Amino acid sequence: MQTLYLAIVILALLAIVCGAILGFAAIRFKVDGDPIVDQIDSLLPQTQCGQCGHPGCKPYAQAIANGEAINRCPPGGETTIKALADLLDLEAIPLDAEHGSEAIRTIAYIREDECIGCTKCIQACPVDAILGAAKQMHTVIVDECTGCDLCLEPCPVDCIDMLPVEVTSASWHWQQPEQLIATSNLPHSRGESDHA
Amino acid sequence: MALVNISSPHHHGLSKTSRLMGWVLLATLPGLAVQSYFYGYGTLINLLWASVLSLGFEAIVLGLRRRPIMPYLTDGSALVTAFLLALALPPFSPWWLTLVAVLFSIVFAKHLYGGLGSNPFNPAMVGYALCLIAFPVSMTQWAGTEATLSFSQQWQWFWLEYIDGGIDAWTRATPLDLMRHTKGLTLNEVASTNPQLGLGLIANMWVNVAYLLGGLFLLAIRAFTWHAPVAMLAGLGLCAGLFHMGEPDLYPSASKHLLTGATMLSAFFIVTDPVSGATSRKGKLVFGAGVGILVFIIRSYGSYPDAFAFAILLMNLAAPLIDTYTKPKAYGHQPKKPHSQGDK
Amino acid sequence: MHKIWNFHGGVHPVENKTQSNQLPIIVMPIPAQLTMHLSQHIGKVAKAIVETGDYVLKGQLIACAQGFVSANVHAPSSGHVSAIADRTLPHQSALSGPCIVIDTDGKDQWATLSPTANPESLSKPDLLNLIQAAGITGMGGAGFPSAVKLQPKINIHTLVINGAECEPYITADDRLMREYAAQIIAGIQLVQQLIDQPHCLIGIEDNKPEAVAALTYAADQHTNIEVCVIPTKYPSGGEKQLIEILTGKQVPHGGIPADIGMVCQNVGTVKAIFDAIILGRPLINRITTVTGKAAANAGNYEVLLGTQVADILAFAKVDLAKTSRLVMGGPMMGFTIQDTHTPIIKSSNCILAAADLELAPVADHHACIRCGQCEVACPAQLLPQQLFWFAKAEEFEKAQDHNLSDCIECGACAWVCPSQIPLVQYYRYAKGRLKTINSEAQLAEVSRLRFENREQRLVDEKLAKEEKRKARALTAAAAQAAKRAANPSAEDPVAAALARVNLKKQAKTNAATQKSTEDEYKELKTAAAITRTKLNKTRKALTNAQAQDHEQAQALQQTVIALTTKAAAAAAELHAYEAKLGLDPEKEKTLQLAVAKANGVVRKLEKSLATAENLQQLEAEIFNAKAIHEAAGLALEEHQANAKEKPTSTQES
Repeated sequence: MQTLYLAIVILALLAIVCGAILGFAAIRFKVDGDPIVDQIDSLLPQTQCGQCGHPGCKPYAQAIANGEAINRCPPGGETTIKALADLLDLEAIPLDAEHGSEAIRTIAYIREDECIGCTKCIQACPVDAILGAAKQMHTVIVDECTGCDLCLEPCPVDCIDMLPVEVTSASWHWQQPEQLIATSNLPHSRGESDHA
Repeated sequence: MALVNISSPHHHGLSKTSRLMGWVLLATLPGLAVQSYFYGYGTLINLLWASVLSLGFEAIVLGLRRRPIMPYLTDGSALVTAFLLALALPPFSPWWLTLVAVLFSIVFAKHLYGGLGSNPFNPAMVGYALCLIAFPVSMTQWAGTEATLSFSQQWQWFWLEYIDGGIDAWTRATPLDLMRHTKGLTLNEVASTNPQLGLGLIANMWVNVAYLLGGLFLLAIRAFTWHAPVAMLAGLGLCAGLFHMGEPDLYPSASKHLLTGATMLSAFFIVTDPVSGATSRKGKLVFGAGVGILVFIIRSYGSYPDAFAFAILLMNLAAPLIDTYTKPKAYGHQPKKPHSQGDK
Repeated sequence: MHKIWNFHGGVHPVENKTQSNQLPIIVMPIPAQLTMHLSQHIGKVAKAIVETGDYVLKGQLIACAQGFVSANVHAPSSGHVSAIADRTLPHQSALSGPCIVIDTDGKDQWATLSPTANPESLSKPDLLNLIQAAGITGMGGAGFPSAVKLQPKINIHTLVINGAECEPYITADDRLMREYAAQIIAGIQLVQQLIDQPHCLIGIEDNKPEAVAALTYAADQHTNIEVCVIPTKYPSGGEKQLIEILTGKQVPHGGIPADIGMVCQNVGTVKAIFDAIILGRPLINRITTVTGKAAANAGNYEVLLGTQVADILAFAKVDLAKTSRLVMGGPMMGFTIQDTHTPIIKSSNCILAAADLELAPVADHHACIRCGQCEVACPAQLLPQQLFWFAKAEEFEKAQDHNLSDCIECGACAWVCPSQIPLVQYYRYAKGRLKTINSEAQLAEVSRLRFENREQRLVDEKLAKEEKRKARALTAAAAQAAKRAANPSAEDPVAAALARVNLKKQAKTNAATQKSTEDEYKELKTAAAITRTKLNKTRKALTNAQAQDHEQAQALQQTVIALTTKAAAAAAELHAYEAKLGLDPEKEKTLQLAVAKANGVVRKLEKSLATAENLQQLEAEIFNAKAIHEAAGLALEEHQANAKEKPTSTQES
């Protein structure tokens, strides 16, 4: 009987000590905020395009943290899905076609002659990348544009074009060489330049 | 003429995979010759059979994997695997043993992992280890050196596994086997009760010396760096020497360890396999030393007499880890101590 | 003898230098056209300061450096500027970049130069200004503006002069050192004067004994200039490698030689500095090797910058039919060009016109067997085979962890690779992707901040509005309370109330009369819309009801009829009002569009005017378009004026 009591006492003591340690750790190493949402957010392309069905990347990050699928971001494409899968220890799944397909990066340009200065695009731009005032011609700050397309729809005169980002000699780079001899009879074109 | 657009460098050295493999094949020849001298035609027959099989399997698997066959067949890697297997298998191995070994090496250990360059384990050693586990008796029966079979006898044995007059007279346990299973006797007592041990050791020694020569040739033409083989021999030699000093009755001397079994063949032809080994020089040192130490441990305490296959496979497993911890410091990363301005 | 260190790795490709280093440098005649790129250097593109049609003199500044890391561009010969447009860049991408094209007149007339007789008197800023003004950039390869390199932040104790020229085939520096040794030494002295007299080490590979002899002779009198003969091994001419060979020190990762008190300059650059300061000549020419089996007259040529490759090839009797690969630079690090109109720039040291089979054939590569030969050859002490795996698997972060950025792309690894894998291309690919990924991450970060700021701003605005509304309500309440408090017992509450009622009534009638026509219009519009929707709703209900209940349907039908008339009345009223106001939204929109369109046409035509040849016709077209635009504008204005005028007139009447 005595051994039983002893065991109970020891177990109880152990539980108290462990509880104390855990409690202390919870206070001492407290993490502020919800880092997983920030981590997810940092992997998203921040185009704020809303193609995922959320009003911006942060809300989608929040939704992913709450269990939404990770394949709803067309601008991020495969790369983002892979990164998210790595982060969240999920399986990388193909892009959900319902939310759009992966396309080359584009930037909005306003045909300035045709702009009537309605400011509608300015209000639509999620990153304040359009400059202008009422009845004045507007212009896109190219360096800040994320290519989200959100300014196209409200434009009453359809004067906004989405143009692919231009390749310069500074941004040009080699492509990966053609894969081995596995694909035999390939033409000698392993140095095809990148025009995408 | 149309001008091409390709990335530099536009120059290329003379080095080629197929040439490298050719040199390796060439370097095995002295060992092959000596082995055949002592143990008869078995190794030669094996070698031919293994080469045919390995090229055949390689071609079939390449076809199944929809890869171009000729460029891969001619790179020589399948032949090297075949040679190593044939040299490592006992001269008395029958046709099916070689077939199983080659099949496993080429199909499972090599191509199922993605083919040349992608295999984490040395293919020849995988085939060898499999046979060692599955057919331990066949794998430890080596020919005696006192009387070799004629070619026709060997040929008959190879295909039919019997020889008119019986085989027992010619097969012997290997010296390592004898030294391992001493049944409580000291090594000297073993030697005195087994007269063929001395002969076996001498034959073994010459075979090893021949492989050493081949290996030195490969070193001279810089087919590989010295790091892995030297570290392996040093690791094995040091361990063996220390234990022999402690208990000479139980542990054979370092020279016996270095010159019996497949020591030199492994050191220069298998440990140096770049695909499954460690990458950096420091890594190769660790890899080689690891193999050496494991060989000693398994030879002394394991249940298999020779230990190269297991030692190498175990170290293959550890190679990625070794690579991680032996990453060399790149240029500009180590703050070198300031040199003097130079003597003028 | 100066002590020589060794560097890790390196290879010994066949040198192939004798084809081009036997003859003295030949001055190439002035070509008919010179194409001066505005970015012949690392850094910002220079800005053209001449215009099409201008006459420029030899050595005249035609494009100005923009910002700190940039370089001036000068006219290499006299002539007219025929175009300022994009031309093929001497770059692997074969993309185009801004150029000034000069049609030379053959007079080769110099602009006024200001040579310096006694450079000792020049102050450091003077020297630096002269070098900067002359547009001198590194002539060995990368083309970094020299003036930037020569303003180190810390004390420089060693000046390393690069005469190694380790690339096979190239002999431009070799010939330069043989023929201009005195100028090089004088240039070195100028650089020494500029950066506090550091000790100078000239590194030359031992396969150039004549150059070594010439420089040793020229430097004989100078105790702080030493000629060091180094063993021939590629890539000893890499800046970092040469520094290690000559001093045993390594440039720290991510750093520059100046971090360890050293500056490295190419012999060609030093000669250009001499020309700039002593002769007052800007950098307008360079020595370029033309070699390869397809070149009948292989050798070194003094060419004007901007000379097109085609002209040089013709002068060196290169058989283009025999050439399968044109390499700008050496065979180890040079890049192929396909457009022979590509011009020479400040860093073009060689044109290699290779015959078929002269260089490594474009072969398919085999699988990597991790033989480790690349690791042995790598001068940056990297693990090329690992980098290759990471680049191939697109694991760029891992490649970065294995110090991909320290790769100097020398090509030694690919040179030794027994599987003939184009390793350098893999690294370039990985580097490019990493660069894109990093810039995208940067953009994403900026976008995130901007998005968050905007969200915050919107929330703030909403809150501020709410606050204002509350404040207004509060002040109103307070005012009322105060009012009540001020006259708690008004003369006569009833009279006051009556007065208030009267006031209110009056206000109402006033408001009614003054109610802007706009509001009225709006009201009408809403009324019409409401009746329309009501009608639609009832109609829907009717169709539903018809299917089920007869009685109800009949009742609904009545309502529908009533509503239809009501809606028609509302619409009619609206139309009448619109007519009264003279409003025509449809017309206004079309007019607006017409104006915008006409405006567009005018702008476009004006733009094309700048480049077009048929001036008169275009001008006429523009005149027409402008007229159309004006007419459209007038129509719109008239329409708007009408719309404004009408209501007032109707009100008056």
